[in-house]
Amino acid sequence: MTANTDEQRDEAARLETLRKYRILDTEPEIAFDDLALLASHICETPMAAITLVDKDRQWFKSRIGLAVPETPRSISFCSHAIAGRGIVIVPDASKDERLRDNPQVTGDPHIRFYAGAPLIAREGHALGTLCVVDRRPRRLTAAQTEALGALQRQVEAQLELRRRLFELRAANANIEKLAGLMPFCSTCEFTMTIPADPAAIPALTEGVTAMLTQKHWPEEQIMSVGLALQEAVANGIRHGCRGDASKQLQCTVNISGAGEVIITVRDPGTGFDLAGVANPLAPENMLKPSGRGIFLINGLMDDVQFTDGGRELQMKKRKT
Amino acid sequence: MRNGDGARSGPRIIPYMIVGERRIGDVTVLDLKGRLVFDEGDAVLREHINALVEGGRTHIVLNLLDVTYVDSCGIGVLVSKFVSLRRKGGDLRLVHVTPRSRRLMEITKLMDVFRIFESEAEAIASFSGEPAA
Repeated sequence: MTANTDEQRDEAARLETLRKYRILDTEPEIAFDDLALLASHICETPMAAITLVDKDRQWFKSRIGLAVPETPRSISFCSHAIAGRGIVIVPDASKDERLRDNPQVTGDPHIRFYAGAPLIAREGHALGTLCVVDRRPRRLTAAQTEALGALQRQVEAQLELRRRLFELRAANANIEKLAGLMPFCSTCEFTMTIPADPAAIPALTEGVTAMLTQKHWPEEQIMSVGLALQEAVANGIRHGCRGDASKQLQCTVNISGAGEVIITVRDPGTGFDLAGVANPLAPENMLKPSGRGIFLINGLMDDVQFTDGGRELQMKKRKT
Repeated sequence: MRNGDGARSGPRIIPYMIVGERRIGDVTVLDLKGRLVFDEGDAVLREHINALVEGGRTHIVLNLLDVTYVDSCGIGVLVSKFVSLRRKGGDLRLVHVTPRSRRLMEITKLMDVFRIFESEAEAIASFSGEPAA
């Protein structure tokens, strides 16, 4: 692959990232205008802008002392600034080989001084700059440069917030659509294959808990079902799968409109003899560190059956 | 101590348990926050108490206020640490037992095994006059 196609690919990825912020051609926003204003005050320049470099143009999300809402990319100072990662400072554009023939230097607004801090996206692409501009040659003090960097990070944070808000809204809309189905489900049945990894348990117990809440089960009963499920799956992982996370459990959860939940958990193990499980309430077992799981499931659910030599557990609870 | 949710794969919803420690005289109060369950808070708590015992601190009050979930493994750790502390002349006493934990301890008849207090001050005071290990 040639350097040229590499560059083209990077630019395509950068533009794709820029689109994710959905900011081009939006109305001015006070949060961005405030930061541009602060930049112009702190750096003591008559002009400041928050620019976003699009395919063929640079568009200003915020502009102080600049007349036009966008300029062609070909004459943009900021397209130079986004090539690097640090603040780019041009003390006098009329003496800069790349810029002295630029129409923004030779004509209106007669730019001489430019300092641009690139705005970096989550993916690492430079989207545009926070820049300050003056009509006369000058420099920034160390403190002004440092402050410009701090403001640049604030602009990046505003951009990131904006993008996260869109992402959250989209995710939330999906969740609401799924949840909207629940009231119409006379029976919900989920047939699941679960990795024998304890990290998978919360997704399962929290999901079932949320479904029962949606079906207006009493809180105490929801707690019992959630805990019984936790115990059943933890047992399956620990004993049925011997803690081997590459193995899987089969689990079905059926919540009927009639108000009954039926849960089965099946493990790939060798099973066990229920008669051989010690009673944890026997005096000699009271202070043992383990052996309470099955006892708890029995105490929490209405009906508990082990079948297939202990490899499959079925437990039921009826809503009261 | 294991905490945070970045280190493991899988659909982890709630981070590992965090154990805060405060020392009041001979008594150590452990503020637990998170899930005291299989493969999560159970090992964290066990290791934390083991370290205290090695350092000679055997008067321990567990504050369960922010424990969101307990299962039989979590209960198992409480029982085993209770037993080992008792053997060393210390004790494990509980404060702010949430309804969820209480339910579980009622079913397994452990409410009478542990000394359970409504306030932290009472739990700490209950150790006064008992010699530290």
